[in-house]
Amino acid sequence: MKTIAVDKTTWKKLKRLREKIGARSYDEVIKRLIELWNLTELDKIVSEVTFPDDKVRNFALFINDRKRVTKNYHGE
Amino acid sequence: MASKKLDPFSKGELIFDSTSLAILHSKSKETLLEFILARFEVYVSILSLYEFLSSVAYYKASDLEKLLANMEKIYHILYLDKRVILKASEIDSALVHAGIFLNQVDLLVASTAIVNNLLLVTNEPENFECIKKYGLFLISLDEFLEKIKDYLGTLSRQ
Repeated sequence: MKTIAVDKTTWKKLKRLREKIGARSYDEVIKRLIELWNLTELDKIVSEVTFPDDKVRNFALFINDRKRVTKNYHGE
Repeated sequence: MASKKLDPFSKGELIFDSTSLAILHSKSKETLLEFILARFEVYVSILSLYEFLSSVAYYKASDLEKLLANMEKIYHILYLDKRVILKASEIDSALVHAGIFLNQVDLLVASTAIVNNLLLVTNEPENFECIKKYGLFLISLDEFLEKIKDYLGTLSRQ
């Protein structure tokens, strides 16, 4: 285990949050905050890096066509 | 030969090749991709990223610099290093002796997976079959997505 320092206000907020979510430890509180942050951030970023399905089919075709220029040869 | 663990949930760390990367970035798979990124440590070779960006550039589908910046936020990008080059050289030489000429990007991505002990998720598993005996852990994209959907189904039933 590692120790981290937080100021009094943050500690009070963490304590209230721990009671509210019924977490068994501050480690669990922090883990859940990290998960929530990840999901919120991912939601924002992923929507910016996804494309319509028909476009993605073209991307995959492009990648495969480029590979065919240096075609895999398995000795058949 | 090492036994091949195919369960992504026990492995926890994955690497996508370029076509699986492209397919997972479709709007219809947005929720699945979010779950995968939250549940697993996901790696991408710089070569797969290059192939994906090339396809996006070809169709002028996005601002490339912005796309690259966002990809760097959600994936661990793996660059070619000495270990990868050495592994790829060993495998390539053995395959050529056996009369097998593999696409060099595929070979380098597979070698990146081997030296970093990552499960390779690929839409073309047949391209990588001949590298399994060199220590590659492999799962097809279809099988991987089925396992994810089964897992999410179990979660929602609970």
